[in-house]
Amino acid sequence: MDPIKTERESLRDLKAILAETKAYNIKFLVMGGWAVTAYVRRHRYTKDIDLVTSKALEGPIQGILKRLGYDVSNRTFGLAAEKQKGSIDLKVHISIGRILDESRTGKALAYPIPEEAYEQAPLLRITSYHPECRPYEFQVPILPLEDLFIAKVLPLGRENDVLDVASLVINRGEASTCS
Amino acid sequence: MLLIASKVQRSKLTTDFRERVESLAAQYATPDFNQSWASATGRRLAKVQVVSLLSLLRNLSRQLS
Repeated sequence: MDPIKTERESLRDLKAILAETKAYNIKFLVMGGWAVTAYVRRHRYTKDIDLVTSKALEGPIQGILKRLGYDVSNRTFGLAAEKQKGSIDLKVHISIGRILDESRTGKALAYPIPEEAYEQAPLLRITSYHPECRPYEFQVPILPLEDLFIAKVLPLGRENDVLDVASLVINRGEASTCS
Repeated sequence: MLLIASKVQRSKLTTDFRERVESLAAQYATPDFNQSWASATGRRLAKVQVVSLLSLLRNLSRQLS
């Protein structure tokens, strides 16, 4: 896998998904690793796209992902999509209405994202790890800090989440919601 | 911190969430964590940062008790 090409493609795809879904009046919030890069600039390499939306409009979203070259499948949490193109390997996860943590065997935990989160979401610039990808950075609506923190704490056994929680606390711990 | 605690309580995940916060704090207190951090970010955490991280998580855990 080529991390620079992959990071660039991920930024391009995220921008395309958000632009194309506007026509359907679907509101998305960026969560996951890209959201962490908005609160903690360039703290680690990330590539996969994690979104949450309040509307279950799978049809139009699936069409957009397929046009971008993804194989799409329905999952318990919403939609999962995967694209492998040469040295690029990307995944998109779209949660609907809630963040579902299935890391505990036999005990899924659901964290609902209230409608107000879409209204309160800050518009922040997501930041790339590789300098070559900086021209592709842009502003997106991000899951509010405390919801992102909660979503990152819940999963078990994911090393990147452990690092992300620490980054959020160390870098944003003095922000009003975390202190 | 209060806002996080309040959102967690509203979601009815309080017990699971508090256990995870405590488990993360225990993990952050080990030297292995600083090695993972250095490997992912190219930097090492200063002792004061680790202390601050643990303190915030322990406060959050108390808020949820």
